[in-house]
Amino acid sequence: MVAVLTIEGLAKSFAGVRALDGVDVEVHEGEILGLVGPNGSGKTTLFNCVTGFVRPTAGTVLWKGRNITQLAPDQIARLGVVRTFQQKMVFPRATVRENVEMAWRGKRGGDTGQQFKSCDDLLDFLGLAHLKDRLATDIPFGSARNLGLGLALAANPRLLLLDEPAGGLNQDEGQELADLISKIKELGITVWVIEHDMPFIMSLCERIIVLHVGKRIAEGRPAEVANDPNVISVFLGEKFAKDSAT
Amino acid sequence: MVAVSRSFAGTLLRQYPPADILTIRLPLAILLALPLLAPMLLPSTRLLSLAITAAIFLIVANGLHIVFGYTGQLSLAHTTLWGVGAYTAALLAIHYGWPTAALIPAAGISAAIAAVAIGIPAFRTAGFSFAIITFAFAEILRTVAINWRDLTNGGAGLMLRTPPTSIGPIEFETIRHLDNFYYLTLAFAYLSLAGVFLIRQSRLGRTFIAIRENESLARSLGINVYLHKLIAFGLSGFFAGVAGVFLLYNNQKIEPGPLSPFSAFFTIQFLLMILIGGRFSMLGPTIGAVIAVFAPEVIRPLIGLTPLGDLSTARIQIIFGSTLVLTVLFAPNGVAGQAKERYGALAAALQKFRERQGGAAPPGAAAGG
Amino acid sequence: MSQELSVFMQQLFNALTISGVYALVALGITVIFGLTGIVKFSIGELLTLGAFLTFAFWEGGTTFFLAVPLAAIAVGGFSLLLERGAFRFTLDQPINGFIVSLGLILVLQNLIIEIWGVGFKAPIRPFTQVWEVGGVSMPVQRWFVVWVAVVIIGLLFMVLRYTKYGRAMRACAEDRDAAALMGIPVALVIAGTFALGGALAATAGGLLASLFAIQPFLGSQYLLKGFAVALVGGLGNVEGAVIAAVLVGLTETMGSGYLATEWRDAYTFGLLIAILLVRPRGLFPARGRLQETLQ
Repeated sequence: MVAVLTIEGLAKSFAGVRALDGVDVEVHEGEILGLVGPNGSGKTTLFNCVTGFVRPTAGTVLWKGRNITQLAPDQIARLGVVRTFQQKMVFPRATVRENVEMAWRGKRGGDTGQQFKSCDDLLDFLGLAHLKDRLATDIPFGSARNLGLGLALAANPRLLLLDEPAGGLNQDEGQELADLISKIKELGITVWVIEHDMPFIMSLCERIIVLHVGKRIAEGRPAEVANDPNVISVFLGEKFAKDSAT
Repeated sequence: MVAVSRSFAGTLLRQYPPADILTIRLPLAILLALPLLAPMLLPSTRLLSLAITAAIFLIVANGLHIVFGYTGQLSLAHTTLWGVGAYTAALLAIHYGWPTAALIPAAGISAAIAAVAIGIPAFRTAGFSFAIITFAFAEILRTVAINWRDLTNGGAGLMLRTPPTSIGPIEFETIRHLDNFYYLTLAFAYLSLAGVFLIRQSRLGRTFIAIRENESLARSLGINVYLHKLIAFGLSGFFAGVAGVFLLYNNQKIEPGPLSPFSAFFTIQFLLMILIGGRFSMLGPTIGAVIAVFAPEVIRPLIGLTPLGDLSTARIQIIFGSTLVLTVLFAPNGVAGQAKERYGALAAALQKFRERQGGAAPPGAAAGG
Repeated sequence: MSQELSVFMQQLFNALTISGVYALVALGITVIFGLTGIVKFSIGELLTLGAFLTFAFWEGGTTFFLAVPLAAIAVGGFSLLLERGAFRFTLDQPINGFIVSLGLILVLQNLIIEIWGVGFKAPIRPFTQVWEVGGVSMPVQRWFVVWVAVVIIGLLFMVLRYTKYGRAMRACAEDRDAAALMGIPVALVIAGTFALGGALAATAGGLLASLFAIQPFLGSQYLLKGFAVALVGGLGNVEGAVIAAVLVGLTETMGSGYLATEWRDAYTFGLLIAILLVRPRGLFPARGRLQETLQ
């Protein structure tokens, strides 16, 4: 197993509150890695730190051996680490095709590694070809979610960070998305995905990391993690909290 | 090269389905060609002068469109850059006798450099802070124009008594050859329009729009947002600087007073043009500039018939200001946006009608610009 | 007192007067921004309106001390109408509110010209005495302006801190949606704040009418300074605005006192640019979601 992304001792505080507290992660080449944890456990903050949107307070992020901790988001993206967003994931006042064109990063000195021949090719892959002349703000939510994923793919990623891609999707749509992510993996792109929906992530991922109040509390294959007493107590706690709130 | 031109042709065809050519493109082309006939159609020298003003404004507005319309950055220093171009041209013409053909790129480049120099610090902030910093720079440049008397001759400004250099037998002197000067200005107005069109079609333009639409997303996809904002600002400055040359020849002077490019009034008026015309449309600034220049001509005689009587400058400005407010509130996409919406609704209704008749459906509505 | 010292004290006194006026304008701007995210440029015109109304009331026989509050109430009411008629439709798109305010500058400035003409109006002088202390001449009128500004700022702080309205306003500034969920009448609070901002600007205008000759273009100058102050202090931060007002007042008077007078605007804007570059959200950034628009 070759580690492409190595995170060591990553910490981030917001106004004295520790959102991340010394997190270590290795992402292996070609895998689909899951990142789960209750609300406020620091999942999105971790992605923000890796992709340069938030400066960590301490720790390092290595991408293929290169320290990228202090780089700007666009520099990190050009190195091949591309993320998606939970909200505001497309360019609203542009057509679907223009969206992909805006993100397209194909010709980069000879060997591009770009998996898709053209923007239209990518739109076919996403199943969005029939919507290509529609404004991105006018397409259904599920399609917009796919388009957001497509933008990240157009940017020619080696590692794709997906921030809750299945949030707000129904079961069928979720299954389609899981299939799409598997196909992305088959293209040779490593995937790291945050998700709340446990069945979704259990079936999709080979390995899962569990985050709780900014700390990594478990790591392993889905079955191992699901039976980890620490994880059970954290998630049961959340469940009780939800039940008592309603 | 072949591949590029093929993909360009593809883009054109996709954006302009044949069904639209007769209904939109042809009337639009005729409308765009109409200014060529202005010297024959406009009954007075005064109206032709106004057409020249409109052409100059159009160049300035198209420049502002790149940074405000495309890239979404509210620059309040744009008309100041126009003034910078005019001062550059005046200094080079007066002290070194440069010909017009050299003044135009020189003024454009100097204004572009000024834009980049303002942008380098200003784009480190975003949103309102950016707008206010550009305003602060505009105020500082105005103070410089007033106080650096050795260079700018202070509040009195610089006078230019030489007309544009003639091309062979064609002279551009504005009193005896106003037609020629009009065509010269119009040529550059068309060029500026072609400029915003080509930018819109290019990867650069798409990147600008990506930044306007969602800066974080653009950044996450590897777009260097800071650099592209600077490029947009520099390009907009170039347009403004070029327009500065024509302003200088038209007024035969440049000064930093209350009705000069250095005034807040013009800053507001150019924003108004883009908003009224339509900030999300390529032709928005063109429509806006023409309306801003000719609307008072239309309104004045109409109001003259009402009890309001004579239309003073103050009253025209009240009307302008109210129009800006009403536009933002009721038609935030401007005239072009409204037209596009209406046409879209009409096309949809037609399609529905044809479907009911059992005919083949025409291709979908045109993509947004 | 030595010559240099008395010159310095004179500058300090001048700085104090002008700082008071700037602080009032900046507070008007900052409370509106803090609450709505709208940068209300037309507040400069409300200042001019306040100055001219004060002058009109005074000319009509009202004493200056009553004319200023009357003008403040009238302009506050007018500002409330503007919020109801225009700004409230732009709350989800603050940049549109900003552009609306640019349009209103044209409308208001030219309305004032239509009504009162473009000429200057001589200053109203309710106090004519001048105190001389150690070579520093301090017109009582200026002290009056300083004290009125101090009292109003003090009152404003009390209102924001201790009254129900103040608490509601701070809650709305922090998170409008959450405030609405807590049962705070958000629309009412916003309308009230526009009235407050207008009244503050009009008071500044009324006070100016007792210091200098006024003319219809008065507003833009004070708007820009008030804005610079609000930004330097951190848009939305009330305490920051007061400190920044003193800072800008000092920069300007000391700059024009000891360097070249004609560059006085450049000093202020240079300071503004320098501070925003180091701290894009001002010296004392305010909290709350709206601040994100400033990055």
